[in-house]
Amino acid sequence: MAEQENFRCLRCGYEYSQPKSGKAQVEERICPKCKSNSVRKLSK
Amino acid sequence: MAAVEAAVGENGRERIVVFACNWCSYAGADGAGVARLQQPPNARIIRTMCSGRVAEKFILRAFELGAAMVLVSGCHLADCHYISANSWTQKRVDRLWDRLEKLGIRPERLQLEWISAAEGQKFARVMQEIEEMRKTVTAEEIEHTRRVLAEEREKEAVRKKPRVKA
Repeated sequence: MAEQENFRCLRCGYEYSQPKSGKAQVEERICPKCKSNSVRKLSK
Repeated sequence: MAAVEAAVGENGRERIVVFACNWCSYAGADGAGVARLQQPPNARIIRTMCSGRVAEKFILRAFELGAAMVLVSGCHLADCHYISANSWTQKRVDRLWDRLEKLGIRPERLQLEWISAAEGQKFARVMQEIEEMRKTVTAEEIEHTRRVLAEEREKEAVRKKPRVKA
């Protein structure tokens, strides 16, 4: 199973997780609830 | 740094400091203005050539001077005028969120948004949302931020001071 990463939106407070991206590039983070880009990656 | 000081001004408690990149977000803000979309009057926009130019010290200085909210805004990640400079912004803001939290400052007070030149409506919406968040920032919180960051800056200055041999 793919490793999961946890994120928290700093606009609406929504927390979600998604499979870890294998890409080396930085990817745009978008909150699935409020569409904000202020999404913080939570440490394990 | 002078631009940050001028932007925060005397009434920092109500201030939203926006760092907008020249190519996308600043044009987006301009578009919002041209379309006469409602924007909070207490926001001050600082134009930078790229969001990657916004150093940590600029953001921390804005908070130290008493800004309630700071927004860093740039082009979408694939559209950066300087190839991938805004991916540094993402990493830098990530680091800053961690640092602010360690200092006891709400990381929510620093916001990041990718806004293109065609997204004037998005800029106006984001500014309204940030204004709503700004209203939740208390005077005690701002005072705590100022004190903590001033102490941090002093510590940094002592650490960087060259040692003179006797």
